Parts: sequence; structure tokens; C-alpha cells
Amino acid sequence: MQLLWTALGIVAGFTVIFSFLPQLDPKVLTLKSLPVLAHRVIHEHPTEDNTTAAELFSKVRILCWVMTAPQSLETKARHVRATWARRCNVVLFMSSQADAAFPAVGLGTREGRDQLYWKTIRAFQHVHQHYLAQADWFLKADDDTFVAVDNLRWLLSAHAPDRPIYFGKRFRPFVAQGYMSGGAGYVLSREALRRFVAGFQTQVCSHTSPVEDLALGRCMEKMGVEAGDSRDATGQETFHAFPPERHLRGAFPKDPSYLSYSYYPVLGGPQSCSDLTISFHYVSPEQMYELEYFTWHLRAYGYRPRRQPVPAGQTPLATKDRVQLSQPERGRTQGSGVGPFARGANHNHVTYLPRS
Amino acid sequence: MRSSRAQSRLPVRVVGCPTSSRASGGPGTMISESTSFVKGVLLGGIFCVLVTFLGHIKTGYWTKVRHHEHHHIQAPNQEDVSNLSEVERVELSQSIRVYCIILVKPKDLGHWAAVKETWSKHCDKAEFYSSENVKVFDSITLNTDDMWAMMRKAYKLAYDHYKDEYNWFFLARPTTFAIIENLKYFLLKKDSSQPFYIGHTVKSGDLEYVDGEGGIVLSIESLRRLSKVFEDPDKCPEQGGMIWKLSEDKQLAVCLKYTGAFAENAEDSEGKDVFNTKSVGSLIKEAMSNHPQQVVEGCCSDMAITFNGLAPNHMHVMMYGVYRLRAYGHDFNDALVFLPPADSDND
Repeated sequence: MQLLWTALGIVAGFTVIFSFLPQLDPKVLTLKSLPVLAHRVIHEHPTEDNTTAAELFSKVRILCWVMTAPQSLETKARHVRATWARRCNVVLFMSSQADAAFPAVGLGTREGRDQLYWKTIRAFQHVHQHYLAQADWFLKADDDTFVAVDNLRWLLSAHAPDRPIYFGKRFRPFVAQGYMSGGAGYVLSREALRRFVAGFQTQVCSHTSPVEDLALGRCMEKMGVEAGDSRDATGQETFHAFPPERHLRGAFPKDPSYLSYSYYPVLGGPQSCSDLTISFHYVSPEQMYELEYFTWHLRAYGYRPRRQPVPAGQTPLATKDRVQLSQPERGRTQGSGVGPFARGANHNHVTYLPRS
Repeated sequence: MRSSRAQSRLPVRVVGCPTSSRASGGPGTMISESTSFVKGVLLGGIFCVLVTFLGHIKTGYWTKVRHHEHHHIQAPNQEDVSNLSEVERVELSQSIRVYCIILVKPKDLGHWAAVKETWSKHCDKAEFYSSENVKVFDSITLNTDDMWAMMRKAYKLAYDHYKDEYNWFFLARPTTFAIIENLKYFLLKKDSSQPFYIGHTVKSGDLEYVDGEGGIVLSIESLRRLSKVFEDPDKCPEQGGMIWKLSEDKQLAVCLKYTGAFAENAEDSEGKDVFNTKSVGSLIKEAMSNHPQQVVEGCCSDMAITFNGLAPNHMHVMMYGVYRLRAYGHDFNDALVFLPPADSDND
């Protein structure tokens, strides 16, 4: 009888130890373990030198406010919050109603397309009241706008924030100096913001129309704020009213309504987008992450870009010095081949420097 | 599993009849029974440990079901790279010469055009191997539309013509987008006279193969061995599998295995795949549902080499995204130098 129990004990002992063995055996651990995702806000490549970007972060301070709505917070705005918004010096999400958790500022308006200008006015007033000293430039974007904030700093580094100027994708009609597309995002200097708010205080500006970008453009003109030229020194646009595929592959140069809206001559194909693009609009949540990946992560190792931009802080060519790339010949997609930036000039690299 | 465990169990001798012994039991017998039991447990445990210790290698087989054996291969990391002198860097940039084979059919015309206009310009040489002649584009005509036959012919032709000019051979589908600079960085410290067979690997039963959708990289040595084994119809038949037809990427793996070249999965220094069989968009979508707090950081490698399943227009957007769109103020201290190709404006 005792032997029976002993035997049963042997079996039990063997089985128990055997079943514990695999956990002790290191070979069982899979060779490929999941990478530990460090909880850093900004990912860095090991060979990356961020000194210039970090300098610009403190020299060119940008407050970003994102136009959103209660029903879009979780479907759209959160993807902005997870991507480019982290690179602003200050970021605010503006909604008709406050949301402490998101967080979103409540503007006290209703929702809807007809409320866009009201929301814009209230948003800028809020920013002026609480954040004026915290930033030099004030960007408005939609919750489906992608903004390469580092490139925006590059553009703005050549301009003083106490100058009354604003930048964006410039449209031609209705306003003499043109106005900036709302969806493509626009950015006001501190002085421009002061004048906008002052305009409403003195009633020089008022709620003339629900069409936010046009109405704001009219106010800017009235208050003596200049509509700036945001193109890079080869004439390529940096702010865009549509997603990248439409600009790079679309038929814009032949689209009469787009041609009539665009302040500058429309370039098609690869010329439609600067290397240092600042914005795209109508960007889906998935594409928001894709653009983040392209802008700050994926790159071609060792590749020397074909176009080297003017270094930060240097003025890009003034309009009068700028080579006429394609004169009002609407529908032409290529530059006209004049000057050192001409296509067909005999070099692989186009390095453009400011004229002294 | 269960049966092998049963075999290693000690034979059990049942002594006596349970009922009769219980009839005579009492507290005393219970104590002695439990003592015996405990002794048995200890004996059994020690025995098992001894067996394991002595037959250490064997336990690996028992746990094989949970344990996959992949060959993994990694990109060089910063330490490898910064040890190179300037002279070594220049020499290396020029010594890695990649020949690109793109297998196409007339139905792929849209993708073919996109590949021609985009990433293939960054290969040291890129040629399109077509099932049949197409007027619009130059190609090397293979006169077959069977994928395995196409692959064999293309590899044979590439080896015969270019064995002295290129040391790495990259084969892609027309739906693939490749970043050749990142491929060269990946191959930086790998000796092409060794039999490398690299890409996104998949295990199918006992066979580990490189998935053709992610692109296939062969060193010149692998290609040399492949050329030889093509002449052996038993090891590497022209018609694919005997019983059922193997896909061409599996067939390639079988042939290469006979020559001693084994598939290796390529990863970056964080363990992320660099050859992808899906598009950036698909991978982002998966990341959005699997780890929504770390979508980009968890999705794809910064040094990705391939993506697949791209529409022609997407290739143009990728070209812009990879070679042009960048964030100002982020500089890189790279070990290799690649210049933009001549006669091109989308990079």
C-alpha cells in the first residue's frame, strides 16, 4: 500500500516539476520580443541632431489653436492632439463647449458652418486675453489640417512678430490684397492678433459674414495687416488647401476655379509642394499619422536633398527680386526657365541663397 | 506531446487491492501513506530535474511547438556606423551596388509606370522583366506568364549579365515601393560573398521563406548558388511543386535551401520589420486599433525599406514623403552619402 502511494507521489512530483520546467528554460522565450515603447513625446533617431529645431522652438514661439466641435473631439481632434499639436509651444482645442478631460476650451457659441466666424473671433479674443505673452505667432488650424510645425518656424524665423503680417495659402478674389484659406491654416503675428482684437473693440471689424477666412481677410486688410507670401524661394507653396495626392497628382493647373482662386500661379506635379511644406487640409485621421511618419520619422538614409532651403532667419527673396517662374499664363505647369533656379539648369542640386 | 510524456513516466506497479487495505486503515496508516506520498513526490521531482539536466538538449524539442526558430538579421546600429572612417564611408557608399529586378505583366501597366517614375530611379540599375513585350515601355521579355518561370528566367539572366557588376540583387513586384538608400544602409556591413537571402520572412510548416510581396534581397553568392541549382531538376524543378503547385516565393526558398542559403528576417535596431508586405496606410490602420496611444512610434520603422500594396498615385506621394518632405532643423550625421539621380525632379 505504501509503495502505491510512493509511486503515485513519484508520478505527481515528476509531472509537477516537468510542467514548471519550460518557464525555467530560456530557450522557450521567443527570440523576437516586442520593442519597448519608450513614453517619449518626441521620437528621436539615434543619429539625429535636433539642435536647430530646438533653438527655433524657443526663438519662434507658436501658439496653435485647433477649431473643433464636441462631436469631433474623439473622431478628429484626438489625432491632431496625438501628432503635430505636440510640437507647438502652446496648443488649445477650441469647441463650442468646454471639455475638461480632452481638454477643450468652450467658446460659448453654437455649432455649425454658420458659426465658424463667431468661433474664430471668440477664439482669438480668448487667446489674446490669456496667452498674448506666451507666444510670438498664433496659428489657426482645423481638426483635419496637418501642420509641419518645424517648417512653420522656419518660415516665420525671417519675420519679426511685432510686424503686422499673417501667412497662409493665399487666395485672390474678394479682397484686394487677398486672404488666407481657413482650412489650410493661417498664422498671425502678435501685432496682427492685437490689431484683429482691437478691430472688434473699436468696431472697425464686425461679424460681416459666416465665411470665416474671407471675413477675417477683410478685417486684416482694414486693420493694415499685410497678407504675406508664404512660398519658398523657388516659388513652391507651403500651405495647401487639399491633401498631398491632389496637389502632386491632381489636375489643378487646368481647373479654372482653382486657378481663379489661387493668388500665385499654380504649379502642378512635384512643383506644387515645397520640400518644407507647412500644411495640408482635408486630412483623414489615418493620413494624419502617415504625414507625421513621413515628416518626422521615415527618411532615406544618407540622402542629400536636391533642394536646400534658405537657412532660418534669412529673408526669402522679396517679391520684386523673385524670379518670375510662371507669369500669368494660366494653365502652365512648369517654370519658365529663367535665372539660377530654372529647371533644366545643369545641376542636380538647387541651392538657393538670399540675394544680398 | 502527451504521448511522449507518458513514455517517460515510470511504470506503476499496483500493489494490493485498494478496498482491502482501506478496510484495515486508521490514522496510523494514513500518516505513513502520506509520508510515502511525500517521499514519492520528492523522488519524482528530483528524478525529473536529473533527467532534464542530463538531457538538457532534449527539452528543447519538447517545447518546440511554442518555440519558433527564426533567423533574424539586424541593421547596423550607431556604434557600428560611427566606427567607420571617412575613407571607409565613401568606399562603402560606392561598394554597395544594387541591381533591381521588377517582374511585370501587361496588366500592371499603371503600377509599372509609377515604379519607373519613382523609386526605381534610385537603384544602381533597374530593369523590368515582362511576361510579354509591351510597346509603351522597354523591358526584357520572358515569354511566360507563370510567376515561378518568370522568376527563374529573370534571376538567370540577371546573374549571367551582371554578376561582375553588382553585388546585391533586389527583386520586387510592381505594387512594391522600395527605399534603396535604406536597403544599402541595411547591407552596410554584410559581406556579399556570403549567401544572404533577406526580406520579410514567413514560416510555412518547416519552410521559412521570404514573402515576395515585401521584396527579396539576394547577395551575389546566393545568386551564384541559385544559378547552379537551377540546373538540378530534382532539387529545383521548373514546374513548381510535385503534388500541388508552390507559390514562386516558396519555391525559391526550397531551391535556395538546398544550396545552404536560408531566409533571414530583416529588422531595425528596435526589432521592427524593415521589409513590409503592406502599405503605410494599412499598417497605420492596424496600429490605430492595436495601440492607439503610440500609433506612429509603434507602427513602422524609421529605416523601412519596402512597403507593398500601393496604388500608382500613392507611390508618387511616397516619393514626396520619403525624399522631399521633411521637418526643418533636424540634421543627421549619416555614414553614407547618396546624391539625387540626374534627370529627375520628384526627389
